[in-house]
Amino acid sequence: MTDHTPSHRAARCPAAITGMGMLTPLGNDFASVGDALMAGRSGVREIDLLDTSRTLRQFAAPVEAIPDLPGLQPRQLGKGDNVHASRLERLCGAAAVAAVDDCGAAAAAGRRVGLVLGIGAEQLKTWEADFLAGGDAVFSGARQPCIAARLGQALGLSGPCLTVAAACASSGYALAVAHRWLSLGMVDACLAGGGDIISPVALAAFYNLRALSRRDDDPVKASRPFDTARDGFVMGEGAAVFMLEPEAAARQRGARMHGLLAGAGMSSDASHMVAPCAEPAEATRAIEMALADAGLRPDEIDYVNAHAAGTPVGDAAEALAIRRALGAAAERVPVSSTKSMSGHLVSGASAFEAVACLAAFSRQAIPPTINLDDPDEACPLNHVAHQARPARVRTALSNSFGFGGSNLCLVLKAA
Amino acid sequence: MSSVHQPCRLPVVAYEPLSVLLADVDALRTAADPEGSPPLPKRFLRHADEQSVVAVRAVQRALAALPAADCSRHGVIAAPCQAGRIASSRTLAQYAAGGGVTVSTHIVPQASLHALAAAVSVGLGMHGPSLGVGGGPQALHEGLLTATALADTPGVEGWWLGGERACRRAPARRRGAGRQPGCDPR
Repeated sequence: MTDHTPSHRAARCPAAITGMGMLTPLGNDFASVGDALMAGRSGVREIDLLDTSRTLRQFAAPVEAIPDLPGLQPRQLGKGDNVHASRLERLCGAAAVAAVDDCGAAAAAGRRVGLVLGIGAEQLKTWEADFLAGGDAVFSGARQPCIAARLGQALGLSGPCLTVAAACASSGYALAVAHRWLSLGMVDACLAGGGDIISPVALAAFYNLRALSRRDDDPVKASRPFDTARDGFVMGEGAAVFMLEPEAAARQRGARMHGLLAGAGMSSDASHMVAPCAEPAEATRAIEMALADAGLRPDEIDYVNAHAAGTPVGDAAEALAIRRALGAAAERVPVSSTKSMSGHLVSGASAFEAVACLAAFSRQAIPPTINLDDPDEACPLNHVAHQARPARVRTALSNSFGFGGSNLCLVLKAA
Repeated sequence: MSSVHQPCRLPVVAYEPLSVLLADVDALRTAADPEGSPPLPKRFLRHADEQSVVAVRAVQRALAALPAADCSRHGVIAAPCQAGRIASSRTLAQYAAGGGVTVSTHIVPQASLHALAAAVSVGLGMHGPSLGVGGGPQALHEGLLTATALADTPGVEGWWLGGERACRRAPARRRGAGRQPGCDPR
């Protein structure tokens, strides 16, 4: 049998990130998001964009405003006077359009450009929005194309367009699939990323699961990854989409590069449909595979953007996985969880956290874990607490671990 | 190093078509594990989506035909069509009537697009990548496209690719009528 162990395999060619677009709780452009991350600013607040009267939660990290998209016709949901455009579609669409604009629309013209979006519960959210606006799509079962297919058509993309889902690792999987398409020559360039929205039913479901923080008296302090007093995550929403193309092609056309997607590692815990596995053998393996895919040793990593959502079991398991995978380098490599500021963007988390890694490259600083007042002894890492730390940052590892035991780790490099 | 990798060939060594009427899905939940297949954890399918139940049982039957197979390093790509619609309709109707406290904790992990793949991975102990693809009418094609991309993932010794021709359109029903939409997982 072919030996597929990481150490025997050549690194994959990096994909250049030549465009990016985002709508997040911390801002809707790279500069604003970078500023917020480095300032340790929280996007968590009491929710006023949703009718929360029927839910138990009153705070989250929402996107302030989603712009209208000229040329795109988002799906209309609901019935009667209550018809409105799909918020999830507008969110992902706005990020995709911004990514195309950022790389230069001319750069996409005439090329086979694909689109992979990581959205874990697109239909659930679409059915919910339609139902709450008086529609009955969930009962009728009418088949409709997914958001990626509709956006691909609206953007005039000639490559394949699809949605992938792996819970909180969804948008990381989207980036990994796009990277593979580029490696195989299936596309010339590819838009990839993902997003998610806060919805009343999702908020209630996570609350009832006891996955959310219940620190109702102080929302800004509620998201506290790695802290002894952590009690769950804070739900966020947002989308981030990147334009990827082969590094050689990007350099040849003199494209501006925000960074490189150098590798990905993926595995499954196969342990439980919801709970993270306290014994992180597979999470460790995903990190090791990502490093091998990128052709990097653990001591060549400058920053780890942890998945760490603020759940008691998950954060401790991840800390152990990082220590095992990085070995002695774990003592030195700075680690932070930007979910302390952005909340947990669920399907969009991996893509947003790739933005955070790119911000670390451009600012030459590590964004902090805010609210980390008392680091848990079960999470012994080189934490960057409260304030950004200036550092030489040329490589970053970004972890995403989701429901169903999905582990997805990305390695990014400065261009 | 070449910038373009050659796609690898993917021989099909096992498959299992399974056609089940919605009315028979519950019997599959509690049925005995097929002889020669990896056993499921106790009551594992109790809260699983109907399409997940059919998918897990189909993979079990296929594995029973490969008695020496070790599936612990297999990956799963599942391309269901409108997975979770029955649970979603039930959840939304309950939410409309009773608010957030009525929302089931199973709705996200068991009725999202990734749930079917996760059920196969978790139920049968597969540690390779696990993801859902598509969700719409072209789901199976999109699943194949994704499998092509991920085929050479290091450490993965086999892939299970599943698609379901489900969701035969049911007659339109009025909101709040307390009935479930039709679904015909195949």
